[in-house]
Order: sequence, then C-alpha cells, then structure tokens
Amino acid sequence: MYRQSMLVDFVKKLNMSVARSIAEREDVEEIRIRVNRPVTVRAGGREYYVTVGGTLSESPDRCIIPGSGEINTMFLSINEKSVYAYQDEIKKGFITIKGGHRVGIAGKTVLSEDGAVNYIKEISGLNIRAAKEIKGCGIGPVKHIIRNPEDIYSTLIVSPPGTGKTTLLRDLTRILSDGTNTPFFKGLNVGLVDERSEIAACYRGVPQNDVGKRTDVLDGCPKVTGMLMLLRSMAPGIIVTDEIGDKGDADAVRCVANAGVRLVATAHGYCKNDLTDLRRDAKELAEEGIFQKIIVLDNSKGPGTVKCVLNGGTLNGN
Amino acid sequence: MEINTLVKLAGALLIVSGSTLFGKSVGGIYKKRVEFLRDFQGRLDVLKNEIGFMRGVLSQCLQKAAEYEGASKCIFSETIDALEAMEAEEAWNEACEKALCRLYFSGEEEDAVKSLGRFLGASDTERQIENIEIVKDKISLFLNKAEEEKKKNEPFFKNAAPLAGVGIAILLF
Repeated sequence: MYRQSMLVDFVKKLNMSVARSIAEREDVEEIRIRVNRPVTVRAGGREYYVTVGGTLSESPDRCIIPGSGEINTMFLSINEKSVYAYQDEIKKGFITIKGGHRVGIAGKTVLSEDGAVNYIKEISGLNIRAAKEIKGCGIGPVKHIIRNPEDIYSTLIVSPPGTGKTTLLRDLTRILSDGTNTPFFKGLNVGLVDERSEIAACYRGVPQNDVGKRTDVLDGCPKVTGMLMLLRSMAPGIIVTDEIGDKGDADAVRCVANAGVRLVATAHGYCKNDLTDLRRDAKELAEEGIFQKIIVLDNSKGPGTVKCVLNGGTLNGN
Repeated sequence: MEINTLVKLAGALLIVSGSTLFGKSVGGIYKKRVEFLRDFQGRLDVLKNEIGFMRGVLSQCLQKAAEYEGASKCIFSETIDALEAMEAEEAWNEACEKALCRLYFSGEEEDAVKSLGRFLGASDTERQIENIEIVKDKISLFLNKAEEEKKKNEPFFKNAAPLAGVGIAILLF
C-alpha cells in the first residue's frame, strides 16, 4: 500500500491524469511514456492506453500523446531539478525514486572520450517500473543456508536471467538479518553491497525494500570496493552482493572468506546437474569450497523456484 | 521667546534631523550592498560544497545555503519556496527581483547575481561548480568596487547631509 501510494504521488507530480486510475489498482507493473506516442500502462499482465480523461482503455482512441517538451519537464521533475545529483544514475540509464520504483530513461546518449555513457539528453522515453518485493520467497531456501542458530553457509545462488535471483537474494538478506524461527537463526549483522541499487532500492539513503534490521547498505558502490569497505568498517557477519562474475569479484570474495565472514551472492548460470555453464571465476569459487552451498533456481513454478542445492567443493547435490 | 522663533527653531531641527536621516539612509545603501555581496559570496561557497561534494538535490543544497541569517538569505529561501511550482531558473530570477530592488544594484551587478540561475541544477556537477565559480569571480569584482564606493560615499553622505541640513536651516532662519 505504501509503495502504491508512492507511485501515485510520483505520477501526480508528473502532472499525469492517470494518477487516479493507478491509485485504484494495485497490479500496475509499468507506465511507458514515449515522445509523440501514446502513454501505456501495463497492469495485471495486460497493456492499456491512458485516455485524456485519465482512465485506462484498451483502445488507443483519445489517448494521451506527450510531446518532447512534456517529457523533458517530466524528466526534470524526476531528477528533482538536479541533474548533477542524479548524473551517476542517468549514466546507468535509470533513476530510483521513492518507494523503490525505477524510472528507465531513453534518449540520445552523450559519450565521453573513452566511449562511456556520460549523459542522456533529448529524452525520448521514460519507463516507470513499479517495484515488487516478494516477502517470504526466501523462507524455503533459507533452510539450506542456515548451518546453526549463529552461523550460515556461504552461498551462491545460480540461475539464468529473469528467474528471481535478486528477488530471492533480497528476501534472504531480510531473513538472515532479522533472524527466523524455522529453522531457528538468531540473525546477524549483514553488509549489503548494492551496486545497481536493485536489492535495497535506496532513495536518499533510505532502503525502500525491507532488507532487515541489522543490514548496512552500501548503495551504488562497485562490488569489489564495497565488499572490502564493509569488511573493514562495519564488522558484518554476512556480506551480500549481486551478480559476481569476473576475477576482481572473485578475489574480493576470497578476501572476505579469508576474514571469516560469510557470503551470500548470485551469479548468472545454467545448470543441469553440474555447474558447467557457470562463469569461470564463480565456478572456481564454488569448486574451491568458498561457497559451501550453491542454490540453483529455475522458473518452473514461478520466480525463485529452487531446482537443486549443491555442496561447494564436491559440487554434489543434497 | 517669541512663538515665531520657536516655530523657526522647530523647523530648523526638522530640517537637520531629516537631512541626517537622509544621509544615513543613502550611506546605508552602500553598506548594505557590501554586506549583501559579501554574504552572497559566502553562500555561494556553501552551495558549491553542497553540490560538488554532498551532491544533494537542489532544494537541499539551497536549504543549506539559506541556513544562517544574513543579507542574501532571502534569495535562497524564496527560491526553495518557488521551486515546487516552477523551473529553477525562473524561481531564482523571481527571488532575485524581490531581493535586489531594495539595494539599487547596477544592471551588471544584478545580471551577475541572476546569472547563477541560468544553469542551476540543469547540468552535471563539473558544470555546476564552474558556473558557481564564474559567478563568484564576478561578485568578487563587484564587491571590491562596492567596498571602494562605500569607503568614499558612506562617510560623505553621513557627514555632509547633516551639515547641508544645518546650512539650509541657517539660510532659512
């Protein structure tokens, strides 16, 4: 409800008549605003046009068609008239707003000398994606992670894109931070390195997702730097991070493991009964036993379905 | 003492006190201009730090710059109020119009203060800092000029106006 009202407030700020219709339903997934094309809303798996009167309609008749001036005004409103304050987010192509919702930005990219995206100008499209947090999806998998009431196994969550790794990681972070009764785990200090602001979805430093009462978040910080910073400064019992992949990440993970801190991370990969399709560095970490458990997900029963759990080192299933 | 003399004395007193007040008020404008420019310069430093280092959103940065009392506080606080309803440049200009009309600034001085609004919030950190630095340099030049004018004109108006009042009173007596 809180999230929904944040989304409605935000849409109101953009002077969009659709705010009332959005307030009436909680299944809004995204709102797409494109220059000289109809504004569309995806809700409950279906796409609707927004009429001039602010209602949702399946017919494109009398729908809102914003011009570039309107989109630019919306863009300025999204970045709170402070382009400099959001320049890093703009470079990444999205801005996280209050409530953890995310606004994707499309337009003409301005490149720096080294070819990196420096800015996006001439904004041609905005995609407001409603944040969804599935609390409780980690209750099943967490039993594989808990070693005893005061300790966990370092765990790697592996799956192809779009199968709920980040959603599961977020809920596991909350459970491991708050503690749980089934099985009993007292809860530990968690250091979360949220490089892409996807897990905690911080807005002005405040996590918009529930990541637990004992969780410290380093928002927008590169994984390698963040893991080492947390290790030195926050004395975490567990470090959580998303999508480890290259050698730098692997070295930082080893460093954390050597310091006796547990890790929960995710990696892209496909798995039948072994880890053949896991990226090399992540696979090495699993084979070395730095990750003691590998949870493999698939999408067979919706996002976050556990396909199998492997033991690190031996990579045998259990 | 005759009533006629009493009236003349009262009139003379009025002329002298009126001219003294006039001198003080004109001299005070020079003082206020210097105070304003010096205060504005200080707030630009706060704004530069907030934008460059803290990277807060514009309303937060302006809020920090408007945190303490001083001659130019109103520009920053009024911009924050107007920011909800309009673009940053428009809000800044409107606040400047209100504040500067009481200070008899020259067109150039007004332009220098207003020029901050032109890019306020609308570019990356580097450009914001550059813009603030440019405005600060301009203000620094105007501050030197205003200080010289104050040194020259403030005592003149403060001293000469009462004397002129006394002169007029003697002539009329």
